[in-house]
Amino acid sequence: MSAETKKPRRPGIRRGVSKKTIENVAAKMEAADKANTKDYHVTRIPVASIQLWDEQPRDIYLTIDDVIRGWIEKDDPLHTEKEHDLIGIVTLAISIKDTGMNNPPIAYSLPGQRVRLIGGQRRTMAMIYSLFHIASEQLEKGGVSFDSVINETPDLSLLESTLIPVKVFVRKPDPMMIEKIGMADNLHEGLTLKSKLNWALRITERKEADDQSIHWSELTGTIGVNRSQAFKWVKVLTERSNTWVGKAIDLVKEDKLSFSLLAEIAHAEDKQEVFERNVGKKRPPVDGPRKHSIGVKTTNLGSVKKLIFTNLDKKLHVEFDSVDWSNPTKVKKAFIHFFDLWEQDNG
Amino acid sequence: MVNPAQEEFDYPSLKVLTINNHKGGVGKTSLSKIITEYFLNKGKRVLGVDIDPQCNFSARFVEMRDDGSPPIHPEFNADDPDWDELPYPPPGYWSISELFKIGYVEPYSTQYQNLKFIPSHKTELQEFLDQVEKINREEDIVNLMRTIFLDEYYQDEIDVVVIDTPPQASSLTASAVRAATHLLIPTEMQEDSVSGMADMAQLWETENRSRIGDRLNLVGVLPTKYDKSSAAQRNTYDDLNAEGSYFSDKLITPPMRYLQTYANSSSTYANPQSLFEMHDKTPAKIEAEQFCDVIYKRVFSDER
Repeated sequence: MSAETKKPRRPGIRRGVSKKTIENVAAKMEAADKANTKDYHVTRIPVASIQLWDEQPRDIYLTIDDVIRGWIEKDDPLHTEKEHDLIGIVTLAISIKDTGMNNPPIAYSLPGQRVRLIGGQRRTMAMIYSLFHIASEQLEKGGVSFDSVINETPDLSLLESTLIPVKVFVRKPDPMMIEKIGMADNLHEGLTLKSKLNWALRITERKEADDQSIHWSELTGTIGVNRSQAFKWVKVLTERSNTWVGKAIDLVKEDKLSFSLLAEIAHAEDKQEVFERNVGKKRPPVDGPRKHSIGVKTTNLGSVKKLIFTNLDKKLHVEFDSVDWSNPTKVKKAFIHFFDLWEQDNG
Repeated sequence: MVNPAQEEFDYPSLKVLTINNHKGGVGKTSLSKIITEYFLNKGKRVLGVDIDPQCNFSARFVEMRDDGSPPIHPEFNADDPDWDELPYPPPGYWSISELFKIGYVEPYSTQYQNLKFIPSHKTELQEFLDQVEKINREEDIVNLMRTIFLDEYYQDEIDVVVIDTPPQASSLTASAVRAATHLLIPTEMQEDSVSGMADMAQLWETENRSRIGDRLNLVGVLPTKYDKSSAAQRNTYDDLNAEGSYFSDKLITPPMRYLQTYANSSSTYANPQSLFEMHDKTPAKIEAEQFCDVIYKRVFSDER
């Protein structure tokens, strides 16, 4: 080939995975390999000495008072949300009563022999609920059945005398480590988008207060997104002070906007235009089953109906004949009623 | 002080190998099939478990129906009084979604005498995941598979469980990791796959921090779709395998190169059906026997 026709030299493709990536991953794998419970004291602590974690990643509306009482007061402004929480707590309480607490909550020490939870808030609440409101019965054919029975006069001294296993940090971890362990512990158990977003915003603010910025790897390691998703999250977090991104974030928290649209707005040159195109105008109705928000999560009402009728004895179907299955509030009530019936049948 | 309930949470002898990587397309299912066959050839009594709604691991050993559901279980008896204890009558087939929904499942017998199988279900598993989120039962779900495997049946009848997982984080994947005694991570030699292992590291660390009894052991990292002629892949492999690197004794060799051959050999109508029934000089067979032997020895290294 003559010099005149020789193609210009092109830059080469980078030769393999960068050493920095390999080093980062290796460090994380090594930490995981060496991780053990020796970082903690696993000890039994009176329930009364355990403080809940106010800023935990999972949205829990229930308070300890609600759990001790065993039911939600009718005039409680968060009645619906707390009822929803309580259903999960009762199920978990029965499981704990039946098989014990297989995965103790994680906490760190506070002065005065008290601890504050980092993970396992729902498990702790369920443990407290099981102290007062779960009754057991020996079955004739063998085995034990458990049922939720509200005790109107709970003996509060049980909170002092009952010890539960808690993993307590040997050394007080730094605040970021507390956040990460709390998040990872909760991620294991499923988290709403709102919870993840709240957590990511809080971490970003903390890092910025220390003149640092959020990195994608901190998101993949905690909220369970992959690398390409993490880049979108980072863009949203760094653009959060923009008016339109801020509005979109609020809508995502209210379950009125998807995260992918929020990311699209954050990435757009003209954020206002993309925001108004997706949010400002009324969109045509979508064919097929509609989704509504019940409490904090988006729920397919049709599938709740299916869930109820599939899991319930046919003779009880009549109790749900009058339910308006297109009304989220009615479906929510029907679900709670279903759960009561299901518990009566199945313990 | 150790929580006694946690100590009872350890298996006396059962091994549970979970094959997991949150990135898709790295060869998890092909590896699950090959490892299952290799363990069988070694005389182990194996239980295959598929929690991936794609059902490809299931289809290798159970004749799945066109709609992605398993066949009616041959020993199913609709009038069995035991069903009265379940929340609803079982549908006649048993899939992994029944294990999660009602805490009971009957493994299928297969063409291999020593292999039992719990298949996936294409539609029900996803529907179940949606329901789990609605009624806040994730915490139960995470512990459920391990609790089931503690049953005498599994302890007495099975030596090793092989679990194929879907390529995303969910309470089902967490359940497979919680159930595991050993973790195997297949990965491609490229940026996304390698950095994707950081997610697995997080899950693994959380698991080890929460275990008071037996730890979750990493069997190793198996490079897959490895192309020796690619300088980029060679360099990545060499960097991972460099002296002093954490991965140097974690990498399983030889890397998996003949993924297409493995996929073809384990398809439903393949002949022969198993890679290990191919001619002894087949390169894919030679390679698979070598890396499966490493995995086998690491899983059963503490056998008494």
